[in-house]
Amino acid sequence: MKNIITIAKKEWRNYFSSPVGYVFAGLLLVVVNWLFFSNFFIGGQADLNPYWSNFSLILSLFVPAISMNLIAEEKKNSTWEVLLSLPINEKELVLGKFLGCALYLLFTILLSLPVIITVYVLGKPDVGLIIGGFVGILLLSLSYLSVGIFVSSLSNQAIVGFLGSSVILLVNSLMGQEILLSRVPSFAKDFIGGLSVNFRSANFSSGAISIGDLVFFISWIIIFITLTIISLKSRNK
Amino acid sequence: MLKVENINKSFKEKEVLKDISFEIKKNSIVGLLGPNGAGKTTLMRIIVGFYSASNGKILWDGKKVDTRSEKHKSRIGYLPENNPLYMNLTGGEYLEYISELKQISKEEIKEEIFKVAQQCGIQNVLSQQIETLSKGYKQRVGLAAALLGDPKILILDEPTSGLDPNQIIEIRDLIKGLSKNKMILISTHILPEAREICERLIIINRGEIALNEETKKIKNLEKKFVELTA
Ligand SMILES: Nc1ncnc2c1ncn2[C@@H]1O[C@H](COP(=O)(O)OP(=O)(O)OP(=O)(O)O)[C@@H](O)[C@H]1O
Ligand SMILES: [Mg+2]
Repeated sequence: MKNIITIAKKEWRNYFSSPVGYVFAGLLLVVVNWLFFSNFFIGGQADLNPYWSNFSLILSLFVPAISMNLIAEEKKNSTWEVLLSLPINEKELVLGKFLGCALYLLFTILLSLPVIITVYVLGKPDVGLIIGGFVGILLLSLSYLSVGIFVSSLSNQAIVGFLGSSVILLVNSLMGQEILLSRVPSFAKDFIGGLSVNFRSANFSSGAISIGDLVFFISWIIIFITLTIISLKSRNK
Repeated sequence: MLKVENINKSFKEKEVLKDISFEIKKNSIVGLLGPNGAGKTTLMRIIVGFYSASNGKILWDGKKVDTRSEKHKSRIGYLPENNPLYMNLTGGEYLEYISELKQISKEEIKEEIFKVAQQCGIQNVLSQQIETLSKGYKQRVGLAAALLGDPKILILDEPTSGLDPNQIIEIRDLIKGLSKNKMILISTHILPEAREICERLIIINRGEIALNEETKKIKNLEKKFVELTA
């Protein structure tokens, strides 16, 4: 546990040791809110659903950008060779990196709170819906991050990490969109939609919090983290 | 005592190490020589647990060890080839990070960093970003990191490569001074250097041990090296 925290701390500091971490967080905030408010005043309704769905779309580019280097850079610079010669194991390394990046992600998402409060003051939406949407976006972003760290572990090129995970995430979010789902036979619809992180997260923001969705998110994260650990362990094949 | 027994290593179909066996006694420095691609780095990576061997074992005081176990790793200080470092950290931050991962207790970290920094002559550059250090000083930071926690085994992969003659002599003297209470395995392409600091020399050629001999018994190392590896 101590190793996980040590690695997480370093990762967390990494984001703030250069302007990049601040710029990314600022950019995310501006884009998400701009998209929201441009809708908000047109619709004139204090409805948060468009906000969450924009947010998740943007996260499918943002999370790959902040996670592309998590492991690829260690590989490229061979620093993972130092790390893995220390009394720590692959699991601690991956969990530490995941935790550090997750905290940064949480931080950027929390920056959106003022917007939500504004909407709340203006429109008095349902508090349950706000909490649901918030939890949904958190689970979604952690799921995205688990994909990002996995793809980052597959090569030593950050750009491969970025493109690989954004493609996976965009395809996955497409799987939850009506555009695609309306074209598949109905028996496959639930199945395909059910595999989409976006689709599940939308359930949360519409207030339908279910154990099934929760289990889905947790399994998703565990699977990708496990794949990352396996990918690191198989370095000498 | 560290013993390497019948180590084989293949990547896919390619056999890189064949039946490597040798041992490193306490208080001694063993030199690993061999042409480019002979398998020196691969062998070191196996000993430190970064790679696992396809066959064979590593023994510590006669007992087989799991090279990926924390117990084994905490006995080892490793300076990999090309000295990988986090360029955006300062030397001090880097040593602190490595100390924490080596499970050195909070109270002792400062003292431990002070000790290795003094040994490696980097006390005055600890607050400087690693990226801005000269190659020689980067190498010292890497070596200092390997020394943290006073490991019993030091594995140094070409620690003097790319340094100027003065730095080479300093680092060499430093390594020589470390051999008390430690076992050191060092790889190098500089034959006179190997001759000067190592009690025993091992020449690897194409993954096989071509020579394993006490340094003082080897008459003409240059000639022997060429003969064995040509
Ligand atoms: N991960 C790997 N996958 C495939 N082949 C590898 C891998 N690592 C090393 N090799 C091969 O193993 C052989 C030995 O390489 P190694 O780096 O151990 O040599 P070396 O003795 O350290 O050489 P040098 O003096 O140039 O550092 C080389 O042919 C190399 O291409
Ligand atoms: Mg080498």
